[in-house]
Amino acid sequence: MIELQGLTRVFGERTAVDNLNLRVESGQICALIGTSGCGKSTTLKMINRLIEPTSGTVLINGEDIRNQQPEQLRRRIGYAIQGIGLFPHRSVYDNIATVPRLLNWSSEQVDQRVHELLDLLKMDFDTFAHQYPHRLSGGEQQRIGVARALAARPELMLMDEPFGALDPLTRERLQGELKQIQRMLGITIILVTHDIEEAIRLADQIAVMDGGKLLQAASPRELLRNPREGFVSQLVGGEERALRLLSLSPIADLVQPTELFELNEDTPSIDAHLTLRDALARQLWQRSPVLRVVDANGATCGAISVQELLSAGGGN
Amino acid sequence: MPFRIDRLGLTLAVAVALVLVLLPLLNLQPNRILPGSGVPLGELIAQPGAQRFILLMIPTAILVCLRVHPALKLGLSALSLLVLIYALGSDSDALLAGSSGFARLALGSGFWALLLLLGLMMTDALIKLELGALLRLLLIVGYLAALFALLANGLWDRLSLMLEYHNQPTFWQQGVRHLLLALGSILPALIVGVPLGIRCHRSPRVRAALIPVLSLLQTIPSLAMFGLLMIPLSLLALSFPLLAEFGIRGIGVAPAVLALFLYSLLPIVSNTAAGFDGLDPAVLQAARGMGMSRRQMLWQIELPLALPVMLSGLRIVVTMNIGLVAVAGLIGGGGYGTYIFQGLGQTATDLVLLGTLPTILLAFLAALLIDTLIAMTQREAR
Ligand SMILES: Nc1ncnc2c1ncn2[C@@H]1O[C@H](COP(=O)(O)OP(=O)(O)OP(=O)(O)O)[C@@H](O)[C@H]1O
Ligand SMILES: [Mg+2]
Repeated sequence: MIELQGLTRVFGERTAVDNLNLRVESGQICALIGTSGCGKSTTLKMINRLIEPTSGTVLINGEDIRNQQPEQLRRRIGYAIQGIGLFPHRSVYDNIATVPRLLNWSSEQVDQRVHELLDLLKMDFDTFAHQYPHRLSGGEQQRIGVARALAARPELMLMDEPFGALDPLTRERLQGELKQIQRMLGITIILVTHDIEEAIRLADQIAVMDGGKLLQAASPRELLRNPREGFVSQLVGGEERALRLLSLSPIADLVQPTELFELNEDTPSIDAHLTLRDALARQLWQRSPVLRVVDANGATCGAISVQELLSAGGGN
Repeated sequence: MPFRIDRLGLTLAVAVALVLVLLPLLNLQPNRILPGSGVPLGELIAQPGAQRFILLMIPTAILVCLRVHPALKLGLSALSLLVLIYALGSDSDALLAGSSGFARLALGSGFWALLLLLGLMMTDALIKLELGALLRLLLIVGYLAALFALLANGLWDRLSLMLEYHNQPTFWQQGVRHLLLALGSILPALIVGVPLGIRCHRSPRVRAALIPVLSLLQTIPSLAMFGLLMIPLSLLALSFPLLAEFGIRGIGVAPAVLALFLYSLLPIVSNTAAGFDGLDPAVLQAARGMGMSRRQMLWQIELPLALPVMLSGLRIVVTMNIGLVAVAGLIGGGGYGTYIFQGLGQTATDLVLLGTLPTILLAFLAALLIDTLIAMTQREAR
């Protein structure tokens, strides 16, 4: 569990972060979102002491981070940034091995860990381990950046716009992989982003910042349903809002028994693990008010109707 | 295969032909001091060595004009030069026959021009071959070793350059001294300059104060610098005789090394600063964010990444200093400059050459060595 208490940072005349209070539960993803210059990166860097706060405290599992040497602290916290910052003079292998080596792991441990991580990120060891970063595509570099941040099995990862410079398809795929990895390892992630879609897709908690202040911190659903007046409403609002809400729930949530509908051979079907937003899109596209819901094996497990979607979609 | 013309090659080939016709390859001097007269082409061409060279040079010149594989051009022009050098040696006995015992054969302007032209042909072919840096280094060093083996075998012993060489029993000691003077000033300059360069990178104020001073030092001509240093150093030696025991005197090694040290600082400091300035901020932030200490960042990240730029500063300094050490010969610093100034005093051109040629060769080899290092450090990073 991470707690930011009254965190403030002043640069000269300018207050970059202003009395910020935030609590992130272990095993969750928290997205910091806001316009450029609102203090997201500064907040993140105060957590691994790249920047010292002017006032306020950061507690990790109840312990004040000031009780630890900055270097020791940083080696325990994964860190990935938009520029990625892979070391150009070191191979992929040596890049990933950076923190384990700082922690004096044995070479067998390091070797095993690099194999594990490349596996985890679906990159072939023989193809990639001994490449130099400039040979890799942007998406591959980003993956290595994530692998490097995960190398010493941190319980907490800080990610500063990790997918900023990628094309939408690659970005979406990496977001999916990140979420999977995070659930699998049970780590806590604090992630900075400009992109509300990314925040909604990944985060358990979204913290909206503006001008150094935290405006609202809530689950994506809560944020979409009840945004504070002003900046937060602008950020999440607009016509997209209803669709974004639908995208938060799996179809399984609204499945009804097939007997309620007259399903026939021609009724289009949809996978149960997709979201309500996907279901609505399919209904529109197929001009069909009812869809057959099928499980992973292709067996029918229910139906979903446009009326149910309408009742679930709106605000309050 | 279409026969396309290589413009550079054509120019070089025409120049070779002109040189052969217009300039003498060898000069016949009545004695060591008096200027000689060129050996006419007709006389030279009667000799077997020169004939062999011309026979090889003709196909070489033709192929160099065409766009054929550079390896072929390289091989032929390198072989031509070897044969030329061999010819000048093997023909010298016959050419000297009938002259007085004091007469000497000296290398003529035609030889130097051919050396330059063949050198350009080889350089061009070598560049087009795009060899790895290490392979290129080995090739050049191997070729030079072959040349030296020929000379060491007494091939040119009748030419005045080698006569001067045999008159100088300390030739190799002077070479070692020359290198020691050059490197002996660079090592302290590195020890002082690299940390200063890093300071300049970190603090604009230090940079603003330091760089103009170092630039000013660079603009002082070397002789003036030696003169300037002589005064305080001799005063020092007078007041502390112990220092004089260690060679700290107004003339000799001390002012030479000190001057070279001062000259070396600017390239080392400014290239170190430039190398550090060019580091990617994202890389540095990642390194710090992962928990590297200042020292670990310096040794593991900053220095290796700035190294190619720093090495190109070192390259400037090494070639510059090897040249400047020659000037130090004038104030008794030793090294190949000694021969240059002795030769100038005696108007013995070949003694001057005995000082200049090895100086140029040393500078060339040092630059080549550092280029290889730069290429090897850059290969991974880029
Ligand atoms: N080292 C610093 N010195 C002075 N001002 C700084 C420093 N770092 C950040 N700032 C200022 O603090 C404010 C917040 O910066 P920060 O980098 O946290 O913004 P951000 O939300 O991450 O923006 P972006 O989305 O553009 O990355 C900015 O106005 C910035 O100019
Ligand atoms: Mg930022």
